[in-house]
Amino acid sequence: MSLVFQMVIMNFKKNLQYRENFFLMCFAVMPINMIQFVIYFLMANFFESLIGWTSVEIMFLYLLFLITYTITQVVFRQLRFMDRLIITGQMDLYFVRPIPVLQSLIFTNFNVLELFAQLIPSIFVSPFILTNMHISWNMGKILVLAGAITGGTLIQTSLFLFIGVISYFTIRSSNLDRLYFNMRTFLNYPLDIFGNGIKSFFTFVLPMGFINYYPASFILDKTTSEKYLSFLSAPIGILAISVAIFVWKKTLKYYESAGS
Amino acid sequence: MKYINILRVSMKNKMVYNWSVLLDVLIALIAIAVPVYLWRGVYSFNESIYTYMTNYAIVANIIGLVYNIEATDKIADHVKSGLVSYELIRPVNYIFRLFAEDLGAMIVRIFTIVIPMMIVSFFMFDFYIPKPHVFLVFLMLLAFAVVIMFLVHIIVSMLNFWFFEASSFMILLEIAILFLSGRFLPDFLMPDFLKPLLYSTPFILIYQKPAEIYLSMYRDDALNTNFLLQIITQQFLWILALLAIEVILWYAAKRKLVVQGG
Repeated sequence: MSLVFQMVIMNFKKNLQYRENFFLMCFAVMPINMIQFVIYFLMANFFESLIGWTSVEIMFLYLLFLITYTITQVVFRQLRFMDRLIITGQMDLYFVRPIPVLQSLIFTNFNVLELFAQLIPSIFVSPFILTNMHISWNMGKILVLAGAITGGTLIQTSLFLFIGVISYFTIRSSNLDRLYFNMRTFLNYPLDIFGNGIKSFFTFVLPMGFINYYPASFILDKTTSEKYLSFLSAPIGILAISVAIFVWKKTLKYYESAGS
Repeated sequence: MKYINILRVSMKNKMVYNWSVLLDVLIALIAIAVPVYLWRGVYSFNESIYTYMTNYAIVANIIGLVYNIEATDKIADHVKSGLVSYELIRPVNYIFRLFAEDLGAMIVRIFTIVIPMMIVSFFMFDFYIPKPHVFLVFLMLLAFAVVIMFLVHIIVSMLNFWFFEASSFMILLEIAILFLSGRFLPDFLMPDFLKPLLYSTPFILIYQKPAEIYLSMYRDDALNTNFLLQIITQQFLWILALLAIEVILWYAAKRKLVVQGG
């Protein structure tokens, strides 16, 4: 355990080596997320509601997604770029180490930058959002919120793991990374506007709807018929991560045995 | 049976390429579809507004498919690896060469992604196709806009000569363009206090104004030549100003390179 702790400290120091660069990157990435919030804020000027969701509620939707995404990014960001590691042969370094590959990947690469760049906009914006929305909190909603954050993080992590896994079989998974970012934009808005086809896709095929849409619609009292779905975030998260870890381990075995 | 292996490798290579193209098409489709559904949802009560906004969003995103400037990455790589001094010795002007490379890629993209996307959007989202002369005018504006886009990117990537990691500036540039160009929100939907900021940058001339020209016969019934001349003049003036800035920065950058001993 102390080995892990030392690796984390080492990584933190590594990041702080190029101090100006570090801060510069922080300040560059922060606006990316702030701009989203700003855009939603400006949208309030010209539309009353998007199928019943006000602009602040859409901000809450995005905030839920951002929080889970940030947590996953801090720990697992490098999984999205594994194809570079494989092509340059750096992946083999991780296999040589005495600790499991996944843990090694995580702990030598804590992405502290992400914490600053994405958590800080979230912290800035949360008070504004929470005070502008009228939520009647009860035990069920708090449960759903907690389930959403943990389950959502697990679902995001399993997505990252899948992107990493696919990079073993295809040469360029960077396109898949771009596809992930594109599909994310669907979840910036309430899934109802896209019609039943896309909504079912994000419920049954790629359960990203459980990251923010279903929990948010329960917390904001938006829905009557799909109430039970919002409680499924955590279970689905656990299911997704189990499948992802299983596939990951299988893939590692295949990679080792192929000896490339 | 080594020929079968060669066959297998060749098939695998080709399939990777085809997957990549398919993925690009999917990505482009999603980028167009999301705003369309969004505007339909927002203005569901007023059909004429939302059809205009969805067409606007489709045009803006299709324009976005054209602009993909790789020159900035190349400059960053050359500077970081030190190869830039080698590149500068070549008999062709560095900047013009980068422009030619990007232009070539853009022209290919127009035929491989833009026109197919226009056709797909026509069938899927009732995309408005204008009369030929409007489309030609639109292409001309796009050509000028490409020059502006390229110059702006080059100017910001000049910072590579002074900073180790200029990628943060590039990110800021992309955000500024996303926000200030009318790609997502046109200027008539922005609050008034932001308008001075919008008009002090050339970015609306890159996305919004060409899109408005494209849709001009959809809204009114004729191509407003005054408006068109205004846009062309503004684009032209910006190109001159940006060229001047770029030349100054380029000489400063080269001098810095020589001083450093590269």
